[in-house]
Amino acid sequence: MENFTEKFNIIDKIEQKDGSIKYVLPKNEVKNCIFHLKNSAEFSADMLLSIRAVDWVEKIELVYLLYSSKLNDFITISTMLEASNPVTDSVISVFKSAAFDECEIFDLFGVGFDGHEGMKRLLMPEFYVGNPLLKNACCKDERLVWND
Amino acid sequence: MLAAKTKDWFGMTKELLKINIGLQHPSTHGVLRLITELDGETVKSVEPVIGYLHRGMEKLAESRTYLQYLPMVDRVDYLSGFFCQEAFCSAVEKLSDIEVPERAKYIRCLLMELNRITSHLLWLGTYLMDLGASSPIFYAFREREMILRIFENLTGQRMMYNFHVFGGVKRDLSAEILDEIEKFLEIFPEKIKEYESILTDNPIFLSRTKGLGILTKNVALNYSITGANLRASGLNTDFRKQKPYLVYDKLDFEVSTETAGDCYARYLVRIAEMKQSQRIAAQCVDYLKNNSGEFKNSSVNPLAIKPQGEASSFVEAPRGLMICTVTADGSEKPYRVKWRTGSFYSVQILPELLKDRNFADIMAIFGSLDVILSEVDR
Repeated sequence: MENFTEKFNIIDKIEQKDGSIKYVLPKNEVKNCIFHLKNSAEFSADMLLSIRAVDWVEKIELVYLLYSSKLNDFITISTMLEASNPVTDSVISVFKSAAFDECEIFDLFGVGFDGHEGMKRLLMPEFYVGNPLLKNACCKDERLVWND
Repeated sequence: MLAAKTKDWFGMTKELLKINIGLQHPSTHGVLRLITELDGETVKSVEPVIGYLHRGMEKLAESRTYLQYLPMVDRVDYLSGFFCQEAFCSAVEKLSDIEVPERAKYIRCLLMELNRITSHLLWLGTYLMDLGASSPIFYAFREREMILRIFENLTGQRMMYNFHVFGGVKRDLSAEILDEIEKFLEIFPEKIKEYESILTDNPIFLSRTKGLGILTKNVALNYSITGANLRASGLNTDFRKQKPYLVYDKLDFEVSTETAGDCYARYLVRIAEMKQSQRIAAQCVDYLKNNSGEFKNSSVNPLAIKPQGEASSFVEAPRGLMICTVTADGSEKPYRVKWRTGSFYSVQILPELLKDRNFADIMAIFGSLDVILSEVDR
């Protein structure tokens, strides 16, 4: 891991409750970092298990979870996007599994991915307006009043 | 609907035919729509359209307390409820440092392995039905019913169990239920032999599945395929062995792999997995019969869970790796819950696997991936 921490500009290291460490990177380095983790002999990540987003109101966090069967370990990479203009680079060219993940995040959080062709709503219908998983998304349907 | 025009050898205009499959189709096990483009009988492109079963499981979590959300998580994958419960419970347990007693861990393991058998049996029956064989489903459901009876006796439910609690399970397994499970586990190897004698060397089954839908190692990894589909392509990634949770490190079992990567290999892996599940379950029953202990951590007050931080749990579910990540902000409700499920990625690989295959092979290949749409759409 030392080579990796030197090579990239790691803003923060957060220890999570399950014992893993989350490396926070600036958004323009994420794609290179994932590419490096996939191709470096040190880590040689096999899979991009998932990409998830968390809405922190002013910022939107993207978390990439990679797995390396060589080290039998997970690595978590995170980056913060400005909520006013959430755009970042797509990682489809590195891992194809990112295609659905990025579509889902675009659909539910409104994050744009540069270099992702054929971006579309994945889970919500095409005519839906808004991004339901954002914290300020409220549902005006009166049947859901109890949902608060 | 007519799509792109091409000219054939005689200079005649040839057109690709667009055909819509689904969203209500008996072979999709849920609601999946496939938009296919055909050249004669050959599939030129497939576009899976998902989202018809989207219930907003992740959004619902944000407006409910941890305890209120617990009964809902079974519905993430309705065929393997215990796995979803385990994924959510263990994430919350990691977050709030809740200890799970040894006996509860064995009970969870036992129930999960029985659940894996029911899930694989349902796959076996319906997959063979997709291929046109109507009898295997009766054999498979005969044994599935026996396990569901046991689950019903234990939890009161056949599919949506809601049996886990934070720090253990709701009830202890009584001696009668353990006897029932033991009786089932004794006869089950015989029954697997029955399925195998119908299928494994069946020439019709072989011609429909062997060499079909070949998923190579690199493509599988690139698309993040996990579970039995990955193991059929020659990798032995099983998170029960790689990152043991509960008591899997104390149990004796093997990871079943195949190298061919075709539909037949995926069938063989699932059959072998059922045998291993039977083995694990027998060891759990043995432990539970000879040891006593607490079945839940009684110091936990489920209403007072207010954790802070982020934790993920990794569970090897029947359809691949299931990860539940809970982000908590110290209030009584989760700030964000993210489900990562195996089927979501298996659907994504369909265009790759179906390209230039015969139209009739669509369901043979799709069925072999064992996709459950509730898990895809969440």
